Amino acid sequence: MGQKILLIVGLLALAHAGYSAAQHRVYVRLTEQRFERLPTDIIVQTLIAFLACCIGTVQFFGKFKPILITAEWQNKSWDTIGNRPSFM
Amino acid sequence: MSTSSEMQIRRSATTLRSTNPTRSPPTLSSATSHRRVEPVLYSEMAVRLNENSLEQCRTSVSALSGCVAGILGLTSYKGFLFYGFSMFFLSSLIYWYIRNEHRTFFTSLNHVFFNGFFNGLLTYVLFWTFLYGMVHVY
Repeated sequence: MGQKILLIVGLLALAHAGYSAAQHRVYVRLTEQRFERLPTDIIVQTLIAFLACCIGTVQFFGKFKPILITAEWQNKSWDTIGNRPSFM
Repeated sequence: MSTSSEMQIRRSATTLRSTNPTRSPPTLSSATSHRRVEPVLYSEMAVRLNENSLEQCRTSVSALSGCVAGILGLTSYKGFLFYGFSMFFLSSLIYWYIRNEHRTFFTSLNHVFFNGFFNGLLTYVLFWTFLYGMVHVY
């Protein structure tokens, strides 16, 4: 659960930043100003949310396994591998 | 197909020689292409799982960076530059997480950095145009 918190918070922050950017756009259109760029705090919030989501994604999806097959075989004993149950 | 995979295993066996001191050293005969090396066994399921995890990371991060580019209102070349930057950022994040043991997870670091760099490009463009339309146009 602690792994997903970062992802959820990042996604919520991103959605919030997107909504504020859309609202800012509507405001600029209504007051008939020229749209230069988004306000700085929206840009900063977007980038920080992106960073948080990236870290959350790598923690959530980035589970790797060792590729050498001997790593898998280290813990097996001969009794496990050499077991051949008889017919009856 | 099987011979090429065999050659790949042998090639990687020679590069792994320096890290694994328990294997016997290669003997060079007069013919340059003959080297007695021990084949290294890779678990196919583990290789596939690692590539799958990497691909999942790449797809989700390219979708996320598409959303960010759409919200920020990036256009034309800046958008593609941002895609390149976000892929590089993801690669460095993954490298930072598996920094000490990357040899146990991948045969070479090319898998993390270079292979599949453009896999998420279409996902990126999809989310980028969608979010740009949502935020800036409507």
